[in-house]
Amino acid sequence: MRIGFVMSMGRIATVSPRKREMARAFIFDWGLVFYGLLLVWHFGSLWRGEAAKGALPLLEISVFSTLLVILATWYGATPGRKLLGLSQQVQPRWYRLLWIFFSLMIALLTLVQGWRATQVDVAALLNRDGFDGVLRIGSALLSPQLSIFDKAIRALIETIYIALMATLLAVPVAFVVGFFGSQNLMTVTRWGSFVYSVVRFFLNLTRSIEPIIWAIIFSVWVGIGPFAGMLALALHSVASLGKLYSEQIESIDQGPLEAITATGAHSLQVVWYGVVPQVFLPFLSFTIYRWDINVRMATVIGLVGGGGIGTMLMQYQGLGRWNEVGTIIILIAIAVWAMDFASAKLRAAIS
Amino acid sequence: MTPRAILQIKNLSKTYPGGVHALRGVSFDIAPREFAAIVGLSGSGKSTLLRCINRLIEPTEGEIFFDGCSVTDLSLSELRRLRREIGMIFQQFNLISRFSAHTNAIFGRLGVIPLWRSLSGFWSKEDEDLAEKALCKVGLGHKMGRRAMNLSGGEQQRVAIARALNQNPKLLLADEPVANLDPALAHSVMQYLELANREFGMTILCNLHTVSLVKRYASRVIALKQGELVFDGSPEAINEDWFRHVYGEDCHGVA
Repeated sequence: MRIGFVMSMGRIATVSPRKREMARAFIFDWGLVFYGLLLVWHFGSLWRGEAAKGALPLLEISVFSTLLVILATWYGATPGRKLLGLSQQVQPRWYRLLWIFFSLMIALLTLVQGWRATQVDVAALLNRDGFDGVLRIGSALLSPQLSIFDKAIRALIETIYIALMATLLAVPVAFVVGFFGSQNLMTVTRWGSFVYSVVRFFLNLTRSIEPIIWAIIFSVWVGIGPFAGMLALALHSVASLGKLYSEQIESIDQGPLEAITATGAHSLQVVWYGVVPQVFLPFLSFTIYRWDINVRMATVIGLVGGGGIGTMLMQYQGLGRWNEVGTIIILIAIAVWAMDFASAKLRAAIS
Repeated sequence: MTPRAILQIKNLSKTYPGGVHALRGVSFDIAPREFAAIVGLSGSGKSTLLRCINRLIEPTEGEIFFDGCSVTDLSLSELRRLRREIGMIFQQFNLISRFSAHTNAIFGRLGVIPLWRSLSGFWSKEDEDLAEKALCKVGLGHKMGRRAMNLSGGEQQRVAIARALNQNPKLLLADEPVANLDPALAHSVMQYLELANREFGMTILCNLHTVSLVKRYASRVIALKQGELVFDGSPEAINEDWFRHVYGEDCHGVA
C-alpha cells in the first residue's frame, strides 16, 4: 500500500484462519495437559514421600504432553478444538469420559494444592491470643488520636496532589500514545503497523509492572518522597490510559473519517475532526476515573516511600501507635469515598 | 458521440484480502454533467466501485482516469488534490455529530483551508460565508447553528450535500444517499442532487436501490451483478426483463 490514510474495508490475512485456530487449540490443549501432568507428578512425589524440593522435570513433562496432545488430536476432538468449534463430530463414549475424568482431576488437585500452598490453618484463625490482639488494635483504631489530625490532613492533601500531578502529566503523553497504539488508524501501512506493535508492546510491559514496584524503582532513582510516588503513578497512568484511549479510538464509527478523508483533507485534519470529536468525552471520563484510582494508589505507594498519607501511615504503624493509625485510616476512607462519589457524579454528568 | 469523458473506468477489479471478488473487470465512461445511477443487489460491488474512484479503497487491477489524469498512480499529496475535485455523500450521512451544521459544511473545504487554520478552528470569513451559502442552497440557512446530532435524517443528509457542494467538486459520488430515509424525504434529497447536476453542472454518480428513483432522476443507468457490469444504457430500457436480468430470475416488480 502506497498511501497513508486509506480506510480499507478488509484486513490483510497472512495465515489461513483455520490453521491459526488449530494452532490456538493445540496451545490450549498443551497447556491443559502440561498442567495436569505437572499436578499428577507433584502429588505422586508427595505420595511416595519424596520432598517436593527437587527440580521439576519440566522438560520431560513438556515432551510427554506434546506427544499426548498430538495423539489426542490425531484420534479425535480435544477440549481446545471443541472450544474453538473446530470439531463437530460425536466422540466415542470412553474418549469423552477420559477427558471429563482428566478435567475433574485437574479441578480437584488444583483445589487441594491451593489449600496447601496458602498454608490454610483454621486453628490459627480461631486462636484465642490472636483474637485478643485484633481486639486491642480494633479498639485503638476506633478511638482516634485527634492530635495528629492537622498533620494527617496535610499529608492527605499531598496525596491528592500527587495523584493529580501524575494524572495531568500522563494525559498528554497517553493522548499521543493512544493514537499510535490504535489498530484501525495505524495498521493501514506497514510502517504504521510497526509503530503500533512497538507502542503496544511498551504499553503492555509498563502496565504489567505494578505501580508499587515502579515506586520502589523511582524512590531509589530520585529518593524517597512524593516525587518518586508521582513519577511511578504517572508512568503507570500513561500505560493504562494509553490502552483505554486506543481501545476507544478503535471502536469509533469509521463513517465520519471516510467523509473527511474524501474531501481531500490532510491526515492530521482527518484525525482532528474525524476521530477526536468522537473520543473526547470518553477520554475525559477515563481521565477523571484515573485520577480517582490514582488517589487510592497514591496511598498504597506511600507505604513504600512515595510520600503523602501512605508514608505517614507506615511510620505510625512501625511505631505501633494504633490510635494514630486509626485516625489516618478513617481519613483515607473518607477521602477515597469522596473521590469515588465525585468522580462518579462527574462522569455521569459528562455522558 | 459522447464529449470528452470526465471519468473513465477501464477493466477495474477489486479483490478483498479475504478473497472476495467485489469487482471484476468493470469498464465505462461518464460524460461531464451526466447523472448516472448505479444499481444492483447488495454486495454487487456498487459501494466498492464508488470508493475506488476516490481511492478510499485501493483497486486491485485496472485504471481510472478522472479529468484526463490517472487516479491509480498518484502520490499522497496528489491524491488529496484529486479528492478535492470529487465530493462524496454517504448512506449514513457521516457528519461530525457534535459540530454545528455550519461547521460541518465548512469541512467540505478542508482540502483547501490551510492546516493551521483548520486545526485551530479559526475559520476565515470566506470559509464561513461559503459554508453559509452552501447551506442556503439546500434550504437549511435557518438551521446553521444546530448541532448535526439534533437534526432529522433528511436534514442531516442535506447538510452532507451542503458539505459536498461547498467543496465545489466536478464529480459527486453518492453512496445510497436515500436508503436510510423515508420515501417522501428521499425525493427532497434527490432533488438537491438534481439541482447540483442541473444548476451547478456537477457530474453525478449515484448508487441507488429504488428503481423508481432511477427512472425519475438518472440520465443513465449502470447495473452491476456480482461485481460485473451487466447493463449500461438509458433508464428507458428498464422493464420486467431488464429487472430479472439485473436482479436475478426470481425477482420481479418494477416500480
